[in-house]
Amino acid sequence: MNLQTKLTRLAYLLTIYSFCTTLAAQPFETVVIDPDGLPVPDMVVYMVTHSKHEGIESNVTQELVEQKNKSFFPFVNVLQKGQSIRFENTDDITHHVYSVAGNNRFEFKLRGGEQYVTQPLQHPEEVAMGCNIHDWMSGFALVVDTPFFGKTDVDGKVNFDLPASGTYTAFVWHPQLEVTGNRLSKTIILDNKLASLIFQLPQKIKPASQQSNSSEFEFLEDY
Amino acid sequence: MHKYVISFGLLSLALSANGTEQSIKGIIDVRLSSVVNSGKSYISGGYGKFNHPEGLNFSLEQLGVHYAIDFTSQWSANVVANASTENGLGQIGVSEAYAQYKWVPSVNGIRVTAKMGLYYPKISIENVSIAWSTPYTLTSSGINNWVGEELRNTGFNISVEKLGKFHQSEHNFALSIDIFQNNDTAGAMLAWHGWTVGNQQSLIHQKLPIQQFSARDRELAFQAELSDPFIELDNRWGGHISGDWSYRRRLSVTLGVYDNNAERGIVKNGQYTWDTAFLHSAIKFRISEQWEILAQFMQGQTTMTSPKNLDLVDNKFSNHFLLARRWWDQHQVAIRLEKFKVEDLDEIVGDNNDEQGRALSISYRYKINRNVFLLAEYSVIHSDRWSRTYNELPSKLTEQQYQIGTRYYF
Repeated sequence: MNLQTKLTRLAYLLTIYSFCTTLAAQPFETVVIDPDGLPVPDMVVYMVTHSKHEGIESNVTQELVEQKNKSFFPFVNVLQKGQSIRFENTDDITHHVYSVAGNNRFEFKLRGGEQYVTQPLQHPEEVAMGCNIHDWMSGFALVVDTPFFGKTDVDGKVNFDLPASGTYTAFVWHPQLEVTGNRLSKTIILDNKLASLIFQLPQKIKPASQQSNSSEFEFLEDY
Repeated sequence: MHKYVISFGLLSLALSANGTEQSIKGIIDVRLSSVVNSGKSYISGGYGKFNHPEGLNFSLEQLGVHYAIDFTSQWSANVVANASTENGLGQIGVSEAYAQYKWVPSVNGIRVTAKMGLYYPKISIENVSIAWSTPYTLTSSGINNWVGEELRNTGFNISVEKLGKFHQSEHNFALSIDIFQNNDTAGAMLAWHGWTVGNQQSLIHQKLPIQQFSARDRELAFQAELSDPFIELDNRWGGHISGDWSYRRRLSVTLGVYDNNAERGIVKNGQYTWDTAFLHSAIKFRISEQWEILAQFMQGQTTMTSPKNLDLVDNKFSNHFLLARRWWDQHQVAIRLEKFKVEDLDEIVGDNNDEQGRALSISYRYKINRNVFLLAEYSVIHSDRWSRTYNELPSKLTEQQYQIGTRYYF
């Protein structure tokens, strides 16, 4: 084997190695805790990569938001740019759903039992949803420009499968997180050693929402 | 503005609307009532302060239907029809007919709603359910029973709300302005039978019997037998303005001024103009998860003048009530205390409308399921009203009413 052939093989192997390294998903865990160290569920966590990763597909599923017991469920949602929201009214009354601020606007009446799918939301930003009939109803969706996102579970955790190397910024967002932009961030360089990240919130998050489901009488009108 | 043109116009629009979203909501309220020491009800021209006459009565109290069509998510046409049996006589007809445009809020949380047609001025905090029914008790308070009897706007409303949640604020504000016609006789029934407790909702075609008193043979001889509550006599517009402040869903405060701006001294076919103006206010306070207090206050004056500018009726009136309610599981208990007064300021003999009194209602509601409720209520009204002596009844009277009823909402 001549030197040229050896070098060609080596280059080939190196290419395969680096390709494998790039695509090898690395589990990465983020944990969100409150000032007392207790886990906080339903926090949006998303990771923005600083380098290009080929071959990662965008999410195209519809994000389901129900109108249930005169409230938006879930209260907090997260989706990737280009995804749509599917609203499903499981109440037997009509709701008039709107988003009136920002660039992802929509507005429609939804009768009991019916559903509506929005256009794909193309603008990464916070979407505040309301009902024009039941003013106390509110819900939020954060549109992110990254495929790496999730909401914390009861243990305050979100698990990601990230491409194994590179620099990332991790964000934690919640509509009731009272800091600039309702979010905190940390930039990390991901290598094989760092496998988790803890976010401690500067304050507790208020109870899930002010949406009220306690209605002993359900036939109130707009008089 | 002609009330029949509006209501039948909206009704025919509603019935001819194809491809739009239509909805029907309704209430059926059936009662058994027993009235003690009251005589003939005000509803049939007596002085009884309940809407049922003395004795045992079975009644279809309300069959109310609200029919709405949505032309778009913001444009709607609405017709509310009601049927009831009163003293064995059936009444059926339209109580409201209006078109409404309700914008979605702006980025700043400002929402505008415009309404046109026949509708209730926003005064009552009790009558907040389908077809203007009250969910809390079997009867409306004196204030709102009068609103249902004699007040209805034929006109325009514009209301502007500022929704706090757009600014992370717990405070909401609203300003509502009406201009209206067809309410020139408002005040007549309040003067002549005084404050009453019941479920009155006059229909737009309905005429109301007037009590017998001796001035009707003299100075008031030109007054028609029946008052037409929703008639235009002077072609002037009245106004109503009210403001609201609410904090979270716990507290709301309303203040309003109503003036029908009637030109005094006009009489057509026995219907006189009554210049009626009042202040009203309301507070609703949710003390805790299962306790709530509602209170309303009203104070004003109504004057009816002859074409020769003689004050035939000049009355000041006031009323306030406090309602406390508590609910748990399937149960709700409500207690309402009222105090009311009419002060007769004119010199006409044989038409003394002075009145003062108090009322108490205790109500129990049981929820059988989401749509069906059973209710029982005891009411007592103690009042001193001189005009009862014209019908050989005592001036001071304590009237009582026992009711059981069932309500079905659909």
